[in-house]
Order: sequence, then C-alpha cells, then structure tokens
Amino acid sequence: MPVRLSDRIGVGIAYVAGTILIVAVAVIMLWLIVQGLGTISWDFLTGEPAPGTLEQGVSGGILPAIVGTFLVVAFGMAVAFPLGLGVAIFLTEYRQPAWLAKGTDTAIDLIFGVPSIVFALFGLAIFSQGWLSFISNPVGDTGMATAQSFFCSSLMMALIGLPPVVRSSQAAILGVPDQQREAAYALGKGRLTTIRRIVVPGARPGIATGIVLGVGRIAGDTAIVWILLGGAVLQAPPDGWYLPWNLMDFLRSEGSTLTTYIFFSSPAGEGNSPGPAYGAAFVLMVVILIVNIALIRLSRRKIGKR
Amino acid sequence: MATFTRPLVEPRPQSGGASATRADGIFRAVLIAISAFMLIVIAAITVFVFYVGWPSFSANGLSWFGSGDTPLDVELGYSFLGDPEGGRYTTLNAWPALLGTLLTTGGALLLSFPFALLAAIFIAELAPKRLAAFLDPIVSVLAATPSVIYGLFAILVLAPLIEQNLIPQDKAEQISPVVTLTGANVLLGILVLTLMIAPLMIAIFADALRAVPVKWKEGAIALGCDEWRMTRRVSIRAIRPALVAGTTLAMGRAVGEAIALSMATGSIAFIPNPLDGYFFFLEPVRSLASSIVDYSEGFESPELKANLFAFGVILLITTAALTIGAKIASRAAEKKLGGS
Repeated sequence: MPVRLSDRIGVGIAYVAGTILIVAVAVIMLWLIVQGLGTISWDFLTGEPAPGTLEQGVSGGILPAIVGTFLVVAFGMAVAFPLGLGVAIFLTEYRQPAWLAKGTDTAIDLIFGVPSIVFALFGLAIFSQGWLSFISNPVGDTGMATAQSFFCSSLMMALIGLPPVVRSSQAAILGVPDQQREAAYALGKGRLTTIRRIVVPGARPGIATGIVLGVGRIAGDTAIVWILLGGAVLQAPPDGWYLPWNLMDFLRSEGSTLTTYIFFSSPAGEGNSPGPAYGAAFVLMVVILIVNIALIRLSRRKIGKR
Repeated sequence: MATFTRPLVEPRPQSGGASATRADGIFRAVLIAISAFMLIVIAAITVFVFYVGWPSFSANGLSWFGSGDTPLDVELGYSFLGDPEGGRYTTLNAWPALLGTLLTTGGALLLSFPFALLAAIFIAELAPKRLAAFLDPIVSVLAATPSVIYGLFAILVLAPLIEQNLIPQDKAEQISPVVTLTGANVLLGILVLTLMIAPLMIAIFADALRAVPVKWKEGAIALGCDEWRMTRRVSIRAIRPALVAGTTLAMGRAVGEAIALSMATGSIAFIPNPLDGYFFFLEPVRSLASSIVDYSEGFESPELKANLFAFGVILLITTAALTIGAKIASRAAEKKLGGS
C-alpha cells in the first residue's frame, strides 16, 4: 500500500503531540515531587502557619489548611450527595411532571458550567444579608454579615459537587436491569422499597464514582474559598477548635484550605513564600491522586460486575 | 455519553398488593421538591448576580463595554475609595478586562485545540495499547489537577524562563514608562490556560474517537486508506460534534478561570499594543474573572461591588450560552454515532 508523504508527516506530528504530553506530565510531576519533598516535614504537616520574615511572608505549618480542605469537602458533599442522588432518582425513575424533569436536567447542566467565581459572588450576595449572620458573623452593627465562614463556603461547594453526583448516579441507575425492578414489583413491593432495596444498591459503584468526582472538584477549588472563607491563611483557628463543643463556633469562623494557602503563599499572593507553597501543592496533589486512584478502582469494579 | 431516556418501568396501581403507600407519596413529593429546588438555585443565581451588578451597567450604558480615557485599574480604585474629590464614582469602561478574557481564552483555544486533537489521535489510534492504557488515567489526573497548582507552576517555573529568555533588557527599558514587563503576561496566561483545558479536550476527543464504529474504520482500510487517512477522512469527520462539545466546554472553563489567571497574567488591566510586534504577548492583562479575585477585598464599597458583580454577569451569560451550545453539540454527536 503506497503511503503518501503527507500522511507520514501527519502521523509524525501526532507522535510529537503525544511525546509533548508525556514530557509535560513528567516535568510537572517531577517538579512537584522534588520541590514538595524538600519542604515537607512532620512539623510542616502538623504545625500552624505563622508570619515569616520580610523575604518570605509565610512560615510554620499547614495543619489548618489541611483540616479546612477536609471540612469543606465533608460538608459540601454532605449537602450535595442527598440532593444529587434525589435529583438523579427523579430524572431516571420518575420523570413526571415532564416539564420539571426537562427543566431540572438543563439546570444541572447550567450549574455544571457556571464558573466557581460566580458561585462565590452569589454566595456573597446571599450570605451577607444580616438575617443569615448566624452562619458567619455580623459586621459590626451594619446589619450585614461577613459571609465568610466554613458554612458559607461549604454550601456553595455543594453546588460544585452536585452535577457529577447527579450525572454518575443517573448513568448507574439506568444500568440497573428492568427485570430486577419488575421482579420487585411482582413481589408486591412499592416504588420506594424497590428504589431503596434494588435500584440504589445496584447503582452503588456509579454513585460512589459521582461522589469521588465531586470530592475532587471541591478539593481543587480556590475561588469560592478565597471569597467565602476569607484569605485568613496566617490566622490561627480559634483556641480549642478541635473540641466538639466548639464545632459550631469553628464552622462560623474564617479559615483557609490548601488551595487558598497555595494562592496566598505564591508570588502572586501576599505571602510570597515558594517553599511552603510547594509543600502545600504537593499535599494537595497527593489528595487529588488518591481521589483519582479511587476513581480507577471504582470504574474497574463496575466493568467487573457486568 | 449515555442518553438518559428509556421506557419507564412502573408498578401498576390496580394490581393490588402494596402499590402506592403513603411513604411512596411522600418520597415522590420530596424528589419533586429537590428537583424544583435546582431550578430555584439557577433562577436565584441569575437574579442575585444581575440585581447587585445592575447599577454598574445602568450608570454607564453601552460605554460599559468600551474603553475610556481613565485606565480600568484607576476606575476600579476610585469606585472603591471614591473619586479624588471624595464623591461616589460609578464610571466604568470594562474593555481592558473583556479584552484580557478574550485574549487569554482565544489564545489558549488556538494553542490547545490542534494539540489536543493530535494527542487524542495518538492515544486513541496510534499509540501501543499499553502506552494508551497508561496515558488514559494520566490525562484524567491532569484534567482534575487544581488550577491553583498550574498557576503556581506558571509563576514559579515558566515566568522566570520567559523573563530571562524572551524579554531583552533594552526593549523592556524602552517600554518601562508605559508598562513594566515581567514574566507574568498574556503569553503566560495563554500557557497556563492551555495546561488546564488541553487535558479536558484530550479526554473528550479520545473518548469520541474510540466510539467511532469499527466497521466504518475497517471500511476505510478496505478501500485502501492507511491509518492516517482513515483517521482524517472517517474518524475526525464522525466526531465533529464531539469536537465542538469538548471545545465549548473547555472554553467555558477558560473564560471562568479566576485564580490561575490572577497568578499568571501580571494582573494589570493593560491594553496590549498590537504595534509592539511580538511584545504584544509579553504585556500584562487582567481578565474579568481574575479582576473579581484581585479586588475581592473591596466588596464593602457598593460601587466596586456593583462593578465586580457586573463582571460576574458577563461570565454567567457567556458560560450559560456555552453550556447550552455544548449540550446541542453533544446531542448531535449521540445522533451521529448512536444509530450504528
């Protein structure tokens, strides 16, 4: 078969693109590992941040940022998961009234597409109203609220985590064979029982995939945290924040997550401390890798079941 | 992508037994309430962001979209602190920020589309099976990597490289009365957005390429096409809707990216001068989204708040249009590939 020169060039360029991809990945990962491991130490992981010197604005550890990331992820998903699963069940098992199903389907797509900075603005507009100051803190006696707290940021994070939960759950629920539903109905079971005992358990790996995708999105978001949790990277959490009875106060306070810590410590932020920024970036990347490994495992399990 | 429709399997109410109990009814009502809540959320986002941002549009009319004599940064500063006489300041000419978003997004799309398409062809068609199986999860990790990490990479690794190699000292001094040239500029913004959106596009394109029916490819080979010709003539044509869907999705990401651009573009609302030749790309800009982050400490001033929310309105409209465009395109993609 004659192979034209232009075809050879085309294949060659595609190979070059593939090589560039591999090299870019290798460079970024190596850079993170080398720079990150140089900073990471036990004290760095378990200490609290402190103001540094003139040249390097941030010193100390990143424990509050790690805790902040886990809190925002946990609270965000705690809100997003039941809502998302509910929407998914409605869109697959009920679909009536039809106009609502169509509208909700489009709404989920739109929520997927809205940039997180716009969610941050939305949260600011809502949560800064005085009567909502119980989830953040009042601003003096202006009748406004700060709109900066773990509650505020987690509620907006829930909107970011929701679309992947809906879409993955939807696909998984559709994968549950109709015969199983028919069998349950034939046994005289109602709809709720069928969904609870047959549909949801059958769709579990797909639902879990959605949760993991949502966790990855929430953990990686910076804009919402920056505006709705404050850039309070150098501010230590309130005394005794880890005690259960202080939980409410802690969740109403400002804080930081790994992403805002990186942003603050980068040369673009006020901290200008590459060292700690590298360390936090490394930790965040480890979190993202764990999330992705979980995803690969879940998708393998799904294939194995079929 | 699965279509989310199939005939419903429902219990028949007249079949007796335990059909519609009270719990079933409550459950159904809860689900309807949750789904209706999603519509309320979208409506509330639109209403609130428009409501707070509206004064900025109404005070400036169409000149909001133009460029004024006063630099945008000065205007935003005045709207925070009041004008020099201490009065309120509502004038805003947002063209520099609009241009910043257009330049960085457009540049990133021009750079990442051909690259992503070629890389997707490499992964889906050309690469040995083992290498492809290894690259697949890596592409998804890259797509999931937080933008702040790409921003950090850009400002700590790429910015010094650009500053040392691409900006000659004499030219920098010549331009310095107008604007200071650093490693953070349009070019770096384009690069960081490319890093962000290329993996997303690769993942979508490669998935679509794999969904092209094998029969079509075999047909092409049987007619004497080699691998490349088959890819170009059959596969790429078949996945055109997916190319549109993936690109619009990536564009939405790029338009709304605030943090990475705030780190990478120098954060000065400068209008790069096309007459400067390739230095056009080495001058700083600031996009709509990163302006919101950069001025996030000034929300207590109502004028600045209105201006920043007005930026949010533009982002909201743009991304909503892109989302709907992507949806239409992916429907077309399903139709095209689903029927075989």
